[in-house]
Amino acid sequence: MRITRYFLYFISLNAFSIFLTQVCYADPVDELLQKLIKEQGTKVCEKLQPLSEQNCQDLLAGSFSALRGKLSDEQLAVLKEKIKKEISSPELLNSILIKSLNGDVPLALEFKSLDSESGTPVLGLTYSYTHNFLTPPPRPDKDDKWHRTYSMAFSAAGTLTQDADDNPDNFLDTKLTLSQTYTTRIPEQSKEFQQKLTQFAFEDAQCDEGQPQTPSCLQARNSGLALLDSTSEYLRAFQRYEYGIDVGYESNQNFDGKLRKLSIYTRAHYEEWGSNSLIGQLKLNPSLRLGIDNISPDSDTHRATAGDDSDYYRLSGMASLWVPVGNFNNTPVVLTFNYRYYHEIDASDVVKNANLESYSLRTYSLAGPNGLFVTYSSGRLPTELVNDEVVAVGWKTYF
Amino acid sequence: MSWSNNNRAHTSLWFFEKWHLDQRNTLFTPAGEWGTDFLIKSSAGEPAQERDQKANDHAVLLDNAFTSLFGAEYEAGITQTDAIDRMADVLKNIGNKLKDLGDPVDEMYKFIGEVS
Repeated sequence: MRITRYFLYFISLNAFSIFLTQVCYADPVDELLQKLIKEQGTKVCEKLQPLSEQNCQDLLAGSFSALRGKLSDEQLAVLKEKIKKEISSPELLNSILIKSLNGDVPLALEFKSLDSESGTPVLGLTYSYTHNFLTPPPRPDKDDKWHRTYSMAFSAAGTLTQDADDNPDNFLDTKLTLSQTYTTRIPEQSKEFQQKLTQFAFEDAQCDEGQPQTPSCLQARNSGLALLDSTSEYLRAFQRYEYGIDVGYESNQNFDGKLRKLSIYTRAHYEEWGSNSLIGQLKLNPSLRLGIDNISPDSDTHRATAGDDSDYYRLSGMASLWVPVGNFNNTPVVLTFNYRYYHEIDASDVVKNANLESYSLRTYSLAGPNGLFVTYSSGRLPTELVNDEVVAVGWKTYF
Repeated sequence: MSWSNNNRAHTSLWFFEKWHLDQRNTLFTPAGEWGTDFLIKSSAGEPAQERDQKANDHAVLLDNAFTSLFGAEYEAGITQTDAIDRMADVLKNIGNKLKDLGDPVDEMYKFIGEVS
């Protein structure tokens, strides 16, 4: 494992530099090493958060011993296994990634731990990139209820794993999109409303953590929230509707199963606004995307291998739901659901018999605002032959 | 500048988000730790492009809220497109938090009562 080796080098270099600069001429070495690990190890381990300090100290001590040839082959194997386990944690890798790039992570790169029913946990790296080429028109007139924009964008996204065969989300999507969007326009409020709201927000924020919740702060909070609540008398939802054309490629990680795609699609995103409607009271936040795709598969796709490499049309759909389910221990918990569906229109018998006519993937999750998530996925995406069940558990927390 | 309750751009952003997410009693500092998935109401399993779309949707929503509800104006030389793109870039990054959006909002908008 290349990444494990790098981690070993990293630990060893830190350890070795301490060793060289401070204990080279010391005697007895073991006693000084223990003292140094205790004194200097904390600094080294701070850089490796969220790896726990205890685990980090153990790894440092083990690495020192390994450098001095004091570990048996068996102990060395145990040390390597421990490092492999620690380095495979997505939270540590994400933290190193963000720190090394000063928070400006390109392509929205993120490590994830993916656990497939068919194998052991798999470390995955997801990426996503979007670039807009067109500038939207100026803000609409005050009387307009909708804000209309045009867009031309390039986007690429997917999940990569070390071994493509272990990738439970083996689906890369790259495309160019031309679209038109309609967005709810929030009516402009009076100057008095705007001044009060800004001031109430400022006053409420002064009752922060560790500060007394004074009556004036609470009054400001209630007054500010009441102002925002009052907007739901004439605004029930924030909505975006979009239609457009996609041209692009879908492939698996090895690019040995490419699909050229031309799609006409429509998308809707609805967010509740206050509680002055049924959907608002239920706190439902759905989004939906429907499309008709024209697909030109290459000769390496499962469909072509089964005996049909002709162009075809398919229906594609995606539905998402985001619902807050309550606060537990003062932490809001959200239930999310996502369903993706692909169905070939008028499929040949060859495709039907090979069970390549339809694909679907459903994902449920419980998530918190600070990143804790548990997800369960079931089904398969195009470019995959068999259904799979995937549980992904991770702390999407960054330091 | 860090996430500060002495900054009207930060406090206005926080106040709108806590109302929008129905977390009315969440204090300023802890709310700064909210992740972007929570802010944009992203569902696990949705395609990355859909998440990007939601990040963009939320940036448009914030632009609407700042200008129409809070009366904020764009800073000199900043266009609506600049402001939305900058906020969307922050929101698209899964590792970012609400507090990471504070300074970009402050740089793009001038809020009422804000000292230059």
